[in-house]
This record gives sequence, structure tokens and C-alpha cells, in this order.
Amino acid sequence: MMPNLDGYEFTKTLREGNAELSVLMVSAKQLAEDRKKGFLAGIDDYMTKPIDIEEFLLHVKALLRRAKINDEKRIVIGDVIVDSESMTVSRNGQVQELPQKEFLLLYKLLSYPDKIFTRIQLMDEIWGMDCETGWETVTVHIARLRKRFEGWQEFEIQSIRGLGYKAVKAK
Amino acid sequence: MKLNYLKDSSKDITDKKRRRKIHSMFMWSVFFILIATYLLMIATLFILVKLDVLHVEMLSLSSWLLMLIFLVASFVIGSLLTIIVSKFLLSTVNTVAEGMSALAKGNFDVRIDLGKNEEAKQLAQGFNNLAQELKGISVLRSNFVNEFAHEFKTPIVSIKGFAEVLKQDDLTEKQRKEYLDIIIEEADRLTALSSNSLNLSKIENQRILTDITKFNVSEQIRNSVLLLEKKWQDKNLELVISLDECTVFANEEMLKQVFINLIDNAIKFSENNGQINIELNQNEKQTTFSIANGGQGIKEQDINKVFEKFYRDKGVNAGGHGIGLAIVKKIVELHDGKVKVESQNGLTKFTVILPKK
Repeated sequence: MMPNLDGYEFTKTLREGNAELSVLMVSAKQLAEDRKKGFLAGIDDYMTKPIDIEEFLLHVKALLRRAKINDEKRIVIGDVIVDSESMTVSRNGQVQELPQKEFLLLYKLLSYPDKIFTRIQLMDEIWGMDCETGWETVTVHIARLRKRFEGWQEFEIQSIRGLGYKAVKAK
Repeated sequence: MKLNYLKDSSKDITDKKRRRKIHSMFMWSVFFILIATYLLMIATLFILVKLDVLHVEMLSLSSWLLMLIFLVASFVIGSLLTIIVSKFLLSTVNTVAEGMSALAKGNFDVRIDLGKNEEAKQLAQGFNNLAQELKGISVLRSNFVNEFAHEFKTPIVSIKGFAEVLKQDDLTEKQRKEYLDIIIEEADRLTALSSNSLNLSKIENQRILTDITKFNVSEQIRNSVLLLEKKWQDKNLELVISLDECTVFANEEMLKQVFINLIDNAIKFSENNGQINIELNQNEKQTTFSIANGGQGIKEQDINKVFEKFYRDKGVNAGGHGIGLAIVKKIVELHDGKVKVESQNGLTKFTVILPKK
């Protein structure tokens, strides 16, 4: 491992100065505890050596895209602008303001297009881990979102049987 | 240090009882020594007076001298008594200490006998079990290292062979590319082999299940499926998932490994555009997980070998090292569960049954 300062210490120090910088840790260590330690130290992603260069590039691209979204705090798909500061979705001048939970749900799904999220994952992220209500509330909110954006070409929320939901952007 | 025994919670009570017993034994010994010293002293004085060796007038000697005599006498008698009693008490400790140092030197054949007393027998039993486990583990480890070394050599020999061929000048461009691809593939295999083996050795050396928590196993399965999303999407597989929402008491990290290995295998051995069926249900007695996939299937004569370490179906070129299922079996057994496999007409199904705790 690295002499004088290991990756975990480095990340912790880095995070104190800059909370926004994307950090991808590449390590020879592979056990679950090592990965957990990394995430607790503040990394955004973890890869085990030896790495496949192509996969590495994909990870880097994903991190940069996420960083860009966080930075800009808005997602643009064609004519549609999803703005997280105002919690609105606008298209061609028409602006819709969404209730908080609906907006967060939509923003999360659109931040990671084509990625499937389970209801419980969405529950934990948006309603919080200690929430008492079951994940039916996620189903209800998804239904509301679909109704709101019925017929919109720019994106679609798909349900994957047995797994969860994903947002798909129009090609 | 706390030990987590899943099976034997009655051990907690016997441990407390034993501790109390040992403490009271010690207390009584000290008490006995003090009382005995005192009584012996009095008795000696009495006898000496009776025998006319000591005269009552002598007892009116200066009180300091009297106290000095008492002090010396009680010191002598007390020490003698303590030496006798402690030999009795500490011989047990000595035997155990000697046994421990033999274990530390690597001699796992040592066994001890501490006599017929119930407490002593239990202590000796505990020690002998420890020695037995250590011996078992060291045998297991050397077997493992032998098998592992063999599995490791094969790809290395292959790499070297192709590297030597590549030194030749008269190869076509196509041949060169092909051999280089093989070298890269074998190198990848070696990498996966080492990481899998690390997982396997960690698990093989575990005798007792630790870190048991209650968690949502259906969500864990969904997460495992999503973890492998790219692999099943690349093959355009349809996943039919039907899960009861249920929780289990188990080692979360280990069970995750079970699901990932089984799902990964199902993906690996499926043909493109195929289907994988995943089911989870639970009743009062047990939780049952099953995963089925199409493809070549497993031949009847091989079906019992799939769980062996390093076993791979040579006919199918699907990569892997044959460690995944060995890990699955070991983890399931640690949880007191069973894993079964059936394969007929190209449909292969793995079932994991975990008893409820």
C-alpha cells in the first residue's frame, strides 16, 4: 500500500477542503470492509485492481456527469428543463411546480437515466431510512408523475417487473 | 471478548455458573488458610503449655516479643498451608498453561486431562476441542494451498506457451492477435481466481456463523440482480422475478455473496435472449430461494460435482473457476441450510433453503 499516507487518509483530508470533488478509488484491496472504509472516508466510487481501462473510463464519465448535474442543479432533456432550485419542470415556457417528494423522485431517476432503482432504494433516499410508511407510497408517487407527464416525448418512467423503476430519455 | 454462538445460548448460563464457582472456591481457600493458621497457632500454644515447654509466666513477656513470636509463627504456618493448597489449585492452571504454549509452538496434537472434577473436565474438554479445531484448520489450509497452486499453474503455463510462440517471426497477423487475446484472457482468469480464492479461504476457515443481523432478503436479492444488470442486459436476458417480501436472520455480507454467485452463474450459462426465473418465498419453518435458467444444462453424472472446489464443466466455455458454487455451499451450510441443484432438458434450477431462526 502507499507509504506515508494511505488512500483513506488522503480522501478524508481532501474532503475537508473540498466536498464537491469527485473521488474514484482504485485499490488492490477487494474485501467488503475495504470498500466500506473507502465510502465512509468520502469516496464516490471504488474499483479493484487490475482494472479494465474501458470500464475505468466509463466510471470516470459517470462521475463527471454526476458532478456536472450536481453543479448545475438542473437537468436538460431537449426542450425540457428540470430545475432543482425551484423544484420546477418546464417545457417551452410552460412551468410546472412539483411537490417536494415528487420532484426529488423525478430528479433522482433522471440523474441516472436507464439505471434501475428498487422501491426501497428510492424510499430510503427520498423519504429517509427511518420512515414508517411502506413503499406503496413510492408506487403512488410514480403514478402521479406518470400522469403529470403523460404523453411527454422527452422522457418516460418505466417499471421493471420484480425490480423497480427507471427513467428513459428519448433517443 | 464476546463470542457469538448461534446454537448454544445455554452456554451463557453455564459460563456464569462456572465463574461464580471458581470465585467461591478461591474465597473459601483463603478463608480456610486463615482460619487453619489461626487454629494451628492456638493449638500449638496450647500443646506447648500442656507439655510444660512453655510456662504461663512466659506469656507475660513484653507484649512486643509476644507479638513477634505470633507473627513469625503465623507466617510460617500460613505459608506452609498456602503452599499445600495452592499446589492443588494451581496445578490445573499450570497444565493448561503448558498446553497453550505447546499449541503456540504449532503442536496441535497435545491434549490435557485435568481430573474427574466436573469443572476441570469441562475446561479440559474445551482445550482439547480447541486443539482439534486448530489441527483441522491447518490440514484444510495445506490442502487448499495445494489445490490452489495447481489451478494457478495451468493458466500461467498457457500464457508462457503462447508468449513463446509469439516470439516466432513467421506468424500471420491474425494468429498474432489470436494468441495475444488468449494471453489476455488467461491473465483475466488469474485475476478472478485470486479474488475468488481470497473469498473462499475466508469462508472455509469459518466454523461458526458470526455477525448475524435481521434484514430484508428480498431487497438484497433485488440489489444483487441490479449489481449484475450489465451482464444480463448484454445477453438480452429476460428476468422473471417473483419475491415475497421477507426478512431473515443471517450474515448479510455472506448471503449477498450467495445470491450474486448464483445469479452470475445463471447469467453465464444462459444463452442469449434466454430467460431467468427467480423466486423467493417464506413459511413458518424456512425461507426458500430458487433460480432457474435455460441453456446447455448439467449432465446427470456431473450434477453432484458442481459444488466441488475448482470444478468446472469442461464442455462449456463460460469462463469462471468453479469456486463460486463451493462458496455458496459453504455459506449455506454455515447457516444450517441446504442447497440443491436439478437439471433436466436444458433447464437448470438451484434452490437454497434457509431454516428460520
